[in-house]
Amino acid sequence: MAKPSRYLPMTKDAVFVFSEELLTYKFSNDHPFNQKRLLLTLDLLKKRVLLLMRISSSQEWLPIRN
Amino acid sequence: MATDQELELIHDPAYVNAVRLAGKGKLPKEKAGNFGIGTEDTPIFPGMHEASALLVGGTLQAVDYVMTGKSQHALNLGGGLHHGFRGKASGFCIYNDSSVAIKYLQEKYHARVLYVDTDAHHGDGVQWSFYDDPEVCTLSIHETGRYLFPGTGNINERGQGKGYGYSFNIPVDAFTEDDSWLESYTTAFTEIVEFFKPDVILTQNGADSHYFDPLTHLSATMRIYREIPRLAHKLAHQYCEGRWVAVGGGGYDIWRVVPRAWSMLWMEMSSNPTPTGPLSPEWLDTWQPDSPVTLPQSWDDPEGIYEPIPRRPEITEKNTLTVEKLLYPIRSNQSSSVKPT
Repeated sequence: MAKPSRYLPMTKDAVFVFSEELLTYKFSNDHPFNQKRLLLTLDLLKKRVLLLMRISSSQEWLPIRN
Repeated sequence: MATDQELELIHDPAYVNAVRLAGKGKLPKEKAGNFGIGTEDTPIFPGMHEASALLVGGTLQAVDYVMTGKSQHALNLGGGLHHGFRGKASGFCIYNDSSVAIKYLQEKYHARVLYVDTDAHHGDGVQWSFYDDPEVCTLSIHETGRYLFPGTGNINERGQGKGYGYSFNIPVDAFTEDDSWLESYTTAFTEIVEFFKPDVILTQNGADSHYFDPLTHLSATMRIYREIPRLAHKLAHQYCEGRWVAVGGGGYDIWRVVPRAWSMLWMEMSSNPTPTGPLSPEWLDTWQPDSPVTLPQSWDDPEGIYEPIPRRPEITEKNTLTVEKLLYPIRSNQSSSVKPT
């Protein structure tokens, strides 16, 4: 069973980490690894996700709501 | 984006440097080969260092959210690149976000990590990174490496030195179906988490064990993608006060399988009921014109998406035996520790 906590209490159930820049991980147009699947997933989840978007030039993650 | 220092928790500085140069078109071809880049599987692309470091940063961010208590669970679907090695890219993976995240969890939070990899391919990069470390336990359930990349993930890969006994592999047979897959996963995960008692669970959620996946030879359906996160969620609460980080992974039917599978994962993590019934008509209308295949109409697969598997009883029996052999050491330890006096 769980040990006594060494960590802080929880505040949220879950966070979804995302940035459109994840789609820059792209080998080529016909490579089987295709991160377009992230967009397809997000679109299917639309309005159900509390998104966290990381801004490219800063260390901050901004929560945005779809 | 992960810093070089973070990447170098796992990766060789020379490799990070080579990836950075390659992404700028400045790495000579003959050198690229030594680092596993510029291959057919893992070609060079502009900005490959930044793109790869970004997804590692996402997984570290997920870790920080969970370990500082801002959230019980965190998901980075851009991660899960489990084939990346210390000094070499492999199988579409450049930097190994899970390996970096586990090392980061150890150094920053002194956490014991259970890594559970349900991608159809063996989670080799993560396994070898912690092969001699008893503070990290890895479990990978995958299609046998007999006919599939990367070829490893045999049941006898159990760790080495002090790490012996902390690496678990379930190589399931080709054509394995839902029932047998789920029985193997459920039994192994449940017993291993009780054996290891982690502080946090990291799951890799490749979605390529589905019958439709073009790169693998398993016969699973959406049922496993409903059940995989359900068990992880339950066990994270039971053993880790909820601490659960999840990443993506493989998944090559990006139209019919991955969006449904990963939506199920997020719905489970965010404590919503996993969806059933028809898919959103708006989603189907939006994407069907782009899709080379007919999109599924509902969250679950209908009966009969594939022809019956003639060897089902043999496959099931073989998988059951594999799991028994796998768990034998921790089962025999348990029974010896509770011997009556």
